[in-house]
Amino acid sequence: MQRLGPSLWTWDSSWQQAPATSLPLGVQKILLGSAFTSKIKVVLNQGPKKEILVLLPLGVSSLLNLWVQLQGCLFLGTFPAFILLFYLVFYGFLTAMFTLTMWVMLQTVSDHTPKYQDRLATPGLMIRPKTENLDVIVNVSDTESWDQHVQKLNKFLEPYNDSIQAQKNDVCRPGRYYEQPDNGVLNYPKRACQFNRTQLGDCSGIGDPTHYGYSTGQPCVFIKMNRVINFYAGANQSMNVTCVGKRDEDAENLGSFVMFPANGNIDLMYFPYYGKKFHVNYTQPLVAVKFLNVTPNVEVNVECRINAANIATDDERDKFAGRVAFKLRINKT
Amino acid sequence: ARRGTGTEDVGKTDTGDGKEKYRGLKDKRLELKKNHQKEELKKEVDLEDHKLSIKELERKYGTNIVTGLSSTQAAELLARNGPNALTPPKETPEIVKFPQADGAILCWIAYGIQYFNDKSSSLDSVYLGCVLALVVILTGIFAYYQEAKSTNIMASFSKMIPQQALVIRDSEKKTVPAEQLVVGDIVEIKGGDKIPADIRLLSTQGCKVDNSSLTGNLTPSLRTHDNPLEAENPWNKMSTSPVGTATGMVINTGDRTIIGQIASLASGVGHEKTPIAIEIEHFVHIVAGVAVSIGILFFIIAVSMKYYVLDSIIFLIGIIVANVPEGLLATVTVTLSLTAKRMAKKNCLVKNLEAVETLGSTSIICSDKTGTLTQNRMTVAHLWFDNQIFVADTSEDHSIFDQSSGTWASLSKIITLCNRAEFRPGQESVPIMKKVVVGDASETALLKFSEVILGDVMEIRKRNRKVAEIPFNSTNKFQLSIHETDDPSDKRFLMVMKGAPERVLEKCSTIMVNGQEQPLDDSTAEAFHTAYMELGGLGERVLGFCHLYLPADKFPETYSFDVDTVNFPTSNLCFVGLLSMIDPPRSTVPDAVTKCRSAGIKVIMVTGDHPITAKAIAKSVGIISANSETVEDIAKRLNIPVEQVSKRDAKAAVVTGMELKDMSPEQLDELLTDYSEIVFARTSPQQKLIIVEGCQRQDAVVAVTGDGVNDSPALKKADIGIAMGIAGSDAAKNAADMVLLDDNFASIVTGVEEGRLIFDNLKKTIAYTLTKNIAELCPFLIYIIAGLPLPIGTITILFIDLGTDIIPSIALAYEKAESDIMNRKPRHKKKDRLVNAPLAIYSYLHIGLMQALGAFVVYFTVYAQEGFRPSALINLRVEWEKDSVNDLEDSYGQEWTQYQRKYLEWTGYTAFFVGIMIQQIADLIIRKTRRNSIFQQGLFRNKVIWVGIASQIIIALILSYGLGSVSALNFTMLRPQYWFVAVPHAILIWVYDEVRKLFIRLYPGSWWDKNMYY
Repeated sequence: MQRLGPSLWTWDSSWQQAPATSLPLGVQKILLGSAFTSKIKVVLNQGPKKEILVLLPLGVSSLLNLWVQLQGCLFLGTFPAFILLFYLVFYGFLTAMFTLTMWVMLQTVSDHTPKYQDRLATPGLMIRPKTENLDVIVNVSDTESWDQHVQKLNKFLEPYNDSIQAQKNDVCRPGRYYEQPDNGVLNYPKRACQFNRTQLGDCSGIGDPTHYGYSTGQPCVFIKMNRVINFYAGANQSMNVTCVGKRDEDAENLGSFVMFPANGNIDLMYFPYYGKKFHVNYTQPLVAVKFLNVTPNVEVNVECRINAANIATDDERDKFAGRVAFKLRINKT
Repeated sequence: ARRGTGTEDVGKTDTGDGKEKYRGLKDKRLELKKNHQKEELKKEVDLEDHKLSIKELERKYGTNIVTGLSSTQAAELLARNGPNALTPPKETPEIVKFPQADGAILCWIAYGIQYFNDKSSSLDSVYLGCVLALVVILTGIFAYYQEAKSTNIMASFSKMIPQQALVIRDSEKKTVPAEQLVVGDIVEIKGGDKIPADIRLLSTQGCKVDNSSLTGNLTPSLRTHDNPLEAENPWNKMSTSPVGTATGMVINTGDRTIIGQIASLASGVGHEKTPIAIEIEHFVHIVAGVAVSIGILFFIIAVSMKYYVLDSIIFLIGIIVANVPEGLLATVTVTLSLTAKRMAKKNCLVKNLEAVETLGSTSIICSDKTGTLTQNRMTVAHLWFDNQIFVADTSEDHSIFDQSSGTWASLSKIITLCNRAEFRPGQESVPIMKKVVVGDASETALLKFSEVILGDVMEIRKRNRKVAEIPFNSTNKFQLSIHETDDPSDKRFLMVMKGAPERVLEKCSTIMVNGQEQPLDDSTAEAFHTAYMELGGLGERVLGFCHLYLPADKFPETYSFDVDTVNFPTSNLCFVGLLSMIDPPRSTVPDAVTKCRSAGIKVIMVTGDHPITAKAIAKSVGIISANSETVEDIAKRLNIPVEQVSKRDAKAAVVTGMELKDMSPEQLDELLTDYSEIVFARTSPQQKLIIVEGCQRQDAVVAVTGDGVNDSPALKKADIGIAMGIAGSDAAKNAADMVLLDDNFASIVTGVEEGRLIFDNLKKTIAYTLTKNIAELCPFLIYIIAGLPLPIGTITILFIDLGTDIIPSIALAYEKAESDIMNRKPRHKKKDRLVNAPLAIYSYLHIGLMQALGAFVVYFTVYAQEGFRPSALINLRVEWEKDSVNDLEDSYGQEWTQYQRKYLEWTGYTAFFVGIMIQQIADLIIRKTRRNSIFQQGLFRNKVIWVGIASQIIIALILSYGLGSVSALNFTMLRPQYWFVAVPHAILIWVYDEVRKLFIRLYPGSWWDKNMYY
């Protein structure tokens, strides 16, 4: 009250009984008063016409006075300190608001399954070893050139070791989906089917002195299909991966190759995938392709695609929908 | 010929100076022109019309100096030679203009980089380059279109104020548009007219011509002629004659005039930039500066964060595109032309857009009295002769006063003869009071008065042939003419004079009472003064009339009068009587003056009238308010000498030209600051100029209204000159920035209101446009720093700037004024900038930031619901953007190909775009007011806002659902619920702004008000 000074606060004689205050602030004017009549009047004048007339019960008056005082201190205060305080409060509030809305939003999202899978109708295919430009270049004589691939593959295939698989995963019946519905109760965690490293045959790299064939110029490339939650790949029919040279000359240069498991088959039992949280030990099925006699010193464009009833492989825009294209080059001196 | 003679002519009077100047001018124009054109010009010099006699001229041009051309002849010539108008200079071809568009350089740099980048990367960059190029071309086309349109508006404006010429055709005086003049027409020129074509003078009276447009010399050259037959100086089109009258024959029209030839040689002259354009450009430069500096800062950050340089350059372009309000220039152009149109509808014709804005910041209006504050419809109210005041009410029975007196006979003769006004022919059936008259207001009043009382005035004038005349001008303050008498036996010439009573009285030595001449003694002079003061005190314009019969011996019938040398007596005349006319104030003026007061605008009356008249009118219109007194009033009331009155007590002051003459500039400054209500009376044109300068010394923005030629210097000097459309002379209209089509002072107030409104609304538009810049900029900064997948693409930003935001920001121009617009002080030119710190801070750091957060919520929602939770997005950028990574794992263990991610990224763009768009709706609504609550302003009063909102939503819907399949545009179909994610933030923006406005209203002057009111 004191700091506002008498020029702002004056007693209005007509409100003798009811302590009233009038704030002649420029054009605008506020009249506050708490009457013994259990009502207080707030008259907000703007220009010639009265804009608001509020009648409040008596109890509010003291609160309102406090608020007015606080406001007065806040809004008539000195300049820099209040600016700082203001921005502190304001940004604090904004952060809180943002956090709140984000929290509310995250409540709409389940931990286990994504709300929408609009973009994932067709799973993509990908190769291992993973390289910068999807090119597998092997200089047979230069160990350095393929050693990194080998290291990557060793690491990649480690979870497929038969011992680990036997320990963590089930032996499933091939040829049918391994469904584990929740049936009202959360069935968690879900079991996964075994995919043993030995199934990859010559490409398993177990006791392999040729390092997946990289040291002999007969490299193994592993094809994997992207995981998509609740996707029933193959629509209950068997599916397999096939590889071809992209153009005629590529086909010529590609030579022969063998696939593991045989025929490039991917079994239905590895589907559906239930997601990282549910399907903790899920092992992604692989198809290994061992290129036996690629024409050396030529870049060969290879394209592998999955033949499955419900996976389209002809998407014009998504070059990796149900297929993968990579370059293979074996350099021999 | 006229070229040559014109030059010689100027040479004659300006002692060769003009000739040199003209030559210089010509040389300049010709410098770059080919030689044969010079030859052509020289050829024309051979023709020498001025050497021909009038008879030869008549023969040559097939005309007659008394009857003029016949209408058919004129039509024929018009068809053959074309209208008397200058062919407009050729426009610069539009193609040349395109690269001039703002941002062009930026685009071509971008395009170059894109092209360079293209070799190794996807087509996206090429699309961006194309879109940027398209933007530049589109803005170029738009700017050109707008320019062409506003040129058209200006052209139509100049058509709306057509130059008129008084021409004799079929033996009748006719007013025709100057464009229809043909060679051989006989034209009459009076003071203030622009010479409509090259003319060869036939007769002239005290006529001067200002050839400044030709010579660049501003001093009017005085042209004197002993004999009308020797008047051989052709005058040039575009010259103005400030004083005097003349008759001449048109010898050249249109492009064949001297000015026309120079104009055709001169190519387009560059337009000057209006202050508002400068303000906006300044602002755009600041924004661009900020954009470039943030861009470069982040470029450095990006490079030091080991981003590829090429990528960093793309970031730089993204940041710049996000920051530059591409659509703003177009918006502002449209807004300004909308206001210009709106003002034209309210009878304020704006000659240059500058005036719209200047009028809004006007702090002093120096208003002319006649025509502006009053109706300029003089009616004779009182007569004084034979020491008696008579009431003359021409609307009723006119035999109220005694018409038998000999004095009345003389007076009526003077009133009839000493008058240049004429009825326009062809109005025989029109009642006298409604007939259109060619002449000024008081002459019209006198003509109508005499026509009513005496009958056919033209017939009387014909019987008393005029032999010489000195027209009225503000220096002499009298008008004089010499006539033959209609009494065949009386061979004397009658000299009649009318003018300012004191001037007329000075020239008199006798006074006529009851038809008898009596010497003018002190008592009659006293009676004169009493009557004069009484009539003047009523706010009436008083004219004195006197005459003199020139003695036949000294002035025989053949005597040749020369008005320039004045070879006849102009003193010792016989005073006949006074006549007073009232020009009633316009009914709308008092209200308008009050409005100006409350708008903080000081209204000063500057008039050539008598102080008493001026004061009376000032009081009746409220320029001197009812309760304020002048020093003289106080002295009179207290019965003390004027010197003893404390100057502080007086609010009003009436200052005459005489007093002003003795004032030092300091004294004038003091006068202007000390008194709030000032009337300047009996001022000369020079003094008007001094007053305007005095006001400008007070740092005021001065508007001057005027209609006469004498006003034009002040109109030019003023920050904004306002000419009267109906009564105004061409000179005044030319000098002015704005023309009031209805001559009504109240229109100025509407003009001020519009001017303030446009300024306010531009502020709102800019605030609206700036806000989203932060929401567009933040994604880039977050993208660079936190490595999120890019939340919004450059092309998408352009779709906001040039798509969804355009119509809403134009819609703000239709916003009605907040209630206090005319209750606040005028804007200070330098202190109250269009874009001030609070505006930028509030837009950027408050609403802009809120918007960015809201848009990010939508973005995160889309990603989270599709599988990428916010935590997974951080630092995902590198993997996310790699083309070779086609099995990127999301938060649920699913794997994404590159295209699937790209598509999700576009969905993110669309989501972010929709988030901004939804919040821009809230932003648009809050920008409707700066101080008042939206509910005070009315949510639905401005319908265009809703059109804007609808357009925003429709464009967004089309982009998302219609063009969602066009991959180059980076839009995808968005799930319907994502359109509502940002709504809570939009509501927050609204609530926050309401709170801001509430505290501004509650605590004016507080730090909140100072920092939050933009």
